[in-house]
Amino acid sequence: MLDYFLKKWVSEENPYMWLMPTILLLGVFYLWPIIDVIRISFTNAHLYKRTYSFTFDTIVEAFSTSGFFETVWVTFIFVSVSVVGQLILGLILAVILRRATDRRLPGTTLIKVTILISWMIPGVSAGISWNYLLSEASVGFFNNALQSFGYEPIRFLSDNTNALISVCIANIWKGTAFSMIVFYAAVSTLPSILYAASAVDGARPWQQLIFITMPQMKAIITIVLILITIATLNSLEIILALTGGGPGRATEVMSLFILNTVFSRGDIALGSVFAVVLMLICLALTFAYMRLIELDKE
Amino acid sequence: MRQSQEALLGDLATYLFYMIIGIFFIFPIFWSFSVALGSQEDVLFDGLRILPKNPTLENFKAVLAFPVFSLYLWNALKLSFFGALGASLICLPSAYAFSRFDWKGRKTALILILVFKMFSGIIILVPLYRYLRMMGLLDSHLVVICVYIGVQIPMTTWLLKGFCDKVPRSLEESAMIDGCSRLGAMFRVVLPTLISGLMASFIINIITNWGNFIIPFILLSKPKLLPIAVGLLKFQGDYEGGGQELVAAASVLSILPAVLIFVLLQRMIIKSMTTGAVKG
Repeated sequence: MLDYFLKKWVSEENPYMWLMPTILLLGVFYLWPIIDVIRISFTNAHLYKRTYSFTFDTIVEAFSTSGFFETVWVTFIFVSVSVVGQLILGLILAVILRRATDRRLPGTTLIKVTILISWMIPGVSAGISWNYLLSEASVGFFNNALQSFGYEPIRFLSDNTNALISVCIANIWKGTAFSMIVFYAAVSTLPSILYAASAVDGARPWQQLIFITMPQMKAIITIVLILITIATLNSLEIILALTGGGPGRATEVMSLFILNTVFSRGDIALGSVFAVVLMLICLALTFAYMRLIELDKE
Repeated sequence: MRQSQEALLGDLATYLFYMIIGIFFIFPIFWSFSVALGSQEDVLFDGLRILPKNPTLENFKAVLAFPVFSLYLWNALKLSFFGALGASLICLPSAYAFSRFDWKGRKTALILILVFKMFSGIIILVPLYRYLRMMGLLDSHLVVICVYIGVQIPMTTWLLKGFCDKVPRSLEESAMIDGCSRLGAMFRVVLPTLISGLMASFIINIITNWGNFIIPFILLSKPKLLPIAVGLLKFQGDYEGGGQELVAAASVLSILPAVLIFVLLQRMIIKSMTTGAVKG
């Protein structure tokens, strides 16, 4: 019996043998934590207490916690502004870089690499760099510049609205390279005959952009939209280094809120409820993404 | 004539745009560099200066002389290297299985892997922290490396599967007819053609791990174990009052390795990252 199973299973023709390490690691580091976070959200567990019991109270508490809806709102603004900014800037860059490559304009690779560098650097370093630009201390470049031209300094990081705008800009700076490079690849595969034919018909370049490029790119634009939405929902280190979530809680996005709830206050049950909410949002976006991939194939 | 004039105008506009975009993207890094080159006085100087009066590399020397800082760099290197190595080794067989075998649920499994990728680190780290703490496994580099590998599995599997798909099946089939076992064919025939793909996945893993923040931030607390991304934030906090020039130097030092690898290998990285990102 055992012999039979060994022969049937321990075989190089059995795909599961090849997959075993991956299955094990994904199980331990993804599947089990995901199940566990759902389970903890139905308890009153605390990080520094050994015992806990199952209850719905935490979930009720979560939605009446002051600050929860503020955090959702901040997250919404942060994600939508960053995503729209990255999409538009990425599209413009892709179209311009494409044209420049076709015309063999020197310096195009240089500009592309420059943009991509911002994507490669650690998020904390990016946050620190932007902090030096926007800081209201004497190190801050922009306020130094404003003052030396005789203007009043701007409270980039200590005013609630300004701080939120600042983290959005820093995040656009960090993430645009991704949408640019994907859009650039997509623009490159568009059939050039469409452009030649429309040019014969007298289409202007901007008309070509709106009536040919955009409709052809609809699918890829939506896919990138979803991918960067998820990436932005998950990013917190740039905010941590730039504003630390402040002033007050003006730039505390959901992931940061979870971090603070669990690791500063030790309230792991409450943090888990928020984590499940974040997870559900990501899951919904993922399903939309997969539907689109399938549609794209058909 | 009109056509070419218009095109020239377009080129001119392109360069204007390049200038603005170039400044927007390079200036934040440049400014950190400028702060790092200056002295305490330059930081406190209120006027507008693009570069400090007497640029100096003293801050870099000072930062590198901190024993804990070189330790941060070393830890980051160690964690990224072994994380990347582990992810490539573990994902190679699964990528092979996805590319070569047809089994029930293959497509579903591929998509399931993709779904995992969409969950942020913070979601899985909340419960992970809890039970790693109960088992006394916090503050361990080995555990952090394992989590790095786990988190990178989706991307690496999809990337390597793409490379596997490009190797013609007939290559190993003929080797198997000549008496090679599947494993033998995999090692002798498929693996050598996959070297460039493995290199690509290894390097992308290294860059991602180098910048990884949230995993070591939560799972490590002893200063001597921290990698640079976390150490940097600690550094920033420690020097909030003064010593910005040192923090800037530290920040620039943490940027350099990633930038260096990227500039040297940008063609390969861009290509793999775009295919890997859209599909996986």
